[in-house]
Amino acid sequence: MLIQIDQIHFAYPSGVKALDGISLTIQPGETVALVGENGSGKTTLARHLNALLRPQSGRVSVGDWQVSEKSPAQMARRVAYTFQNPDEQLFCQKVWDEVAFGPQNLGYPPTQVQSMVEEALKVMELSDVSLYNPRDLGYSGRKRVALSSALAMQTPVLILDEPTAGLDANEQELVSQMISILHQQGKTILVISHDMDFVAENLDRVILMQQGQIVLDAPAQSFFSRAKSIETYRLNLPQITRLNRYLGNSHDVLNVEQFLIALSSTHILTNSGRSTSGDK
Amino acid sequence: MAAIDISGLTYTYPGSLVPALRNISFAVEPGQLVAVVGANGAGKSSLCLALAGLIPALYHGQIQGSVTLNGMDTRLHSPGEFAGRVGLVLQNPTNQLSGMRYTVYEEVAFGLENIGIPRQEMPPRIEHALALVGLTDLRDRSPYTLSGGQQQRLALASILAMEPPILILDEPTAMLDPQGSQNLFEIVQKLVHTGTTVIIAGHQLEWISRYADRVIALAQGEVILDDTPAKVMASPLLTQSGIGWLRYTLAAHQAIARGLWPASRPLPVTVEQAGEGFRQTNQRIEGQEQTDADPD
Repeated sequence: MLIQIDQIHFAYPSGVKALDGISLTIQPGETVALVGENGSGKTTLARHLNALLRPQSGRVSVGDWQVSEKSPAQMARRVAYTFQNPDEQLFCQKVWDEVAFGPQNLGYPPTQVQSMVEEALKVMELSDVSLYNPRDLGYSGRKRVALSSALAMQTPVLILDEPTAGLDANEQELVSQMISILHQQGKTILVISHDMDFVAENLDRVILMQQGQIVLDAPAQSFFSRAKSIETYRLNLPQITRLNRYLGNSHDVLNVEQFLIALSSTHILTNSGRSTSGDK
Repeated sequence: MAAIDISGLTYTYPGSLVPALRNISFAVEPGQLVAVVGANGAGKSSLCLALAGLIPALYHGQIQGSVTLNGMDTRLHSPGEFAGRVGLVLQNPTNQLSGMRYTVYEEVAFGLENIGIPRQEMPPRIEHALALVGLTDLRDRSPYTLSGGQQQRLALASILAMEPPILILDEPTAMLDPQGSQNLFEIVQKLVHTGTTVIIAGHQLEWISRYADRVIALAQGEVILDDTPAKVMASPLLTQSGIGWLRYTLAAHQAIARGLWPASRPLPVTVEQAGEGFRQTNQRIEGQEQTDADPD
């Protein structure tokens, strides 16, 4: 579903200016990373997409809906949102009820709710703990419950705020799989993340924010080479990109597989203008 | 005397049948930075709570073995007696903030008041702690208007101001941006150089490999590895127990099957080790190509 953001400005009541003229179009089915230092406005921007926050000026639309004309409850039909901190979001006594809450409120019939919940729990490997109290799961367990809750709503747009923070390697892999499934279904996905390895490996477009403004918006493939001094934005390069640069290669690779393919081709072996055996 | 001495620690939470920690023994000398890694549920947070004297005092449950912090047995002293002696930064900053102070500055003062620091000594300590974590500019803000990462830095500052000789950090970087994480490890390294003993639990393998003196890996409540970062972080046990490898290690491991990394060469855990290793591969392949091109 198409998302259009046109010149939005937002300041918190305390006077903190969080968004300073943001314009952005996200095409249906795009997978987008929103990156930038703590306090750069990422979460504030995301909360404008489901009416949790409203801009002081400018417009936001999701599909043919003007967000300004909708309530957060109405927006939930189109935009599912997981908070960075799952404890701000979970309130049911059972994992199952928590994940079912969204679909039930969207008015799906009970049999359909059942299958939506089962599917969402399965993806996050929570089927075995569906009758547990979310509070009895660890932080990462609660985080997966929050992700399942968003997944179960089957909305055309999903916003995931720091989905991998605090997750271990296996759990991060589950989030990768979730994004891959959603992408195949044609959903539009916006992920806020500090995890550049995760961003490089899972998302197609990267938007960099600083002090409430967009400072770079590029395909992942070229983002890390275009962000010349990425450290000035308090970000790090993905590990594999760093390794590739350590070897003196200017083109970027985004994952281990791309790195190894490049390594086994003569391209990477003959950097800085050295001749290949074929040139002899 | 070791700063931390754990001996035969087995701990089971109330109402649970399965121990969260099983027969854990290790000692940490003063001024060491020890990282604890493990999949979620492996026992990292429980170990942190035990190291801060909160298990079993606050959590009750079944405990065997002992934890001694600078000579004080946690079974014989209340958690209050460890305040100021051991600092614990929790994974989730909202669980740590006092909820009783209106500004960032006052929040940092709260811990100092509790351990009875004289009033005139407080301002320099607070200023220093806020400067260390980069929150000086936000000193007059309410803690609850801060972002997750800023709250995490505030929780850290509140503990740092107390200058505890032992610092326990449970996933202190989960909400920090990458530079914030690096800054945290740099702060910790400075503290270690001045003699503070630091235990840091988390998934930030990149910084752990760079800064830690020693890495302890947990799986299902047990210590499965306890060695240097280079040894622990390249171990196959790390992937088997759901902790995972850094991309540098993973790339080299996958390169073995393609003949791009000799199986005899240790797997790398830093970008420099990986880079130098792959450079040698390049030179070897180029050497072969030269031989192929110039047959005698």
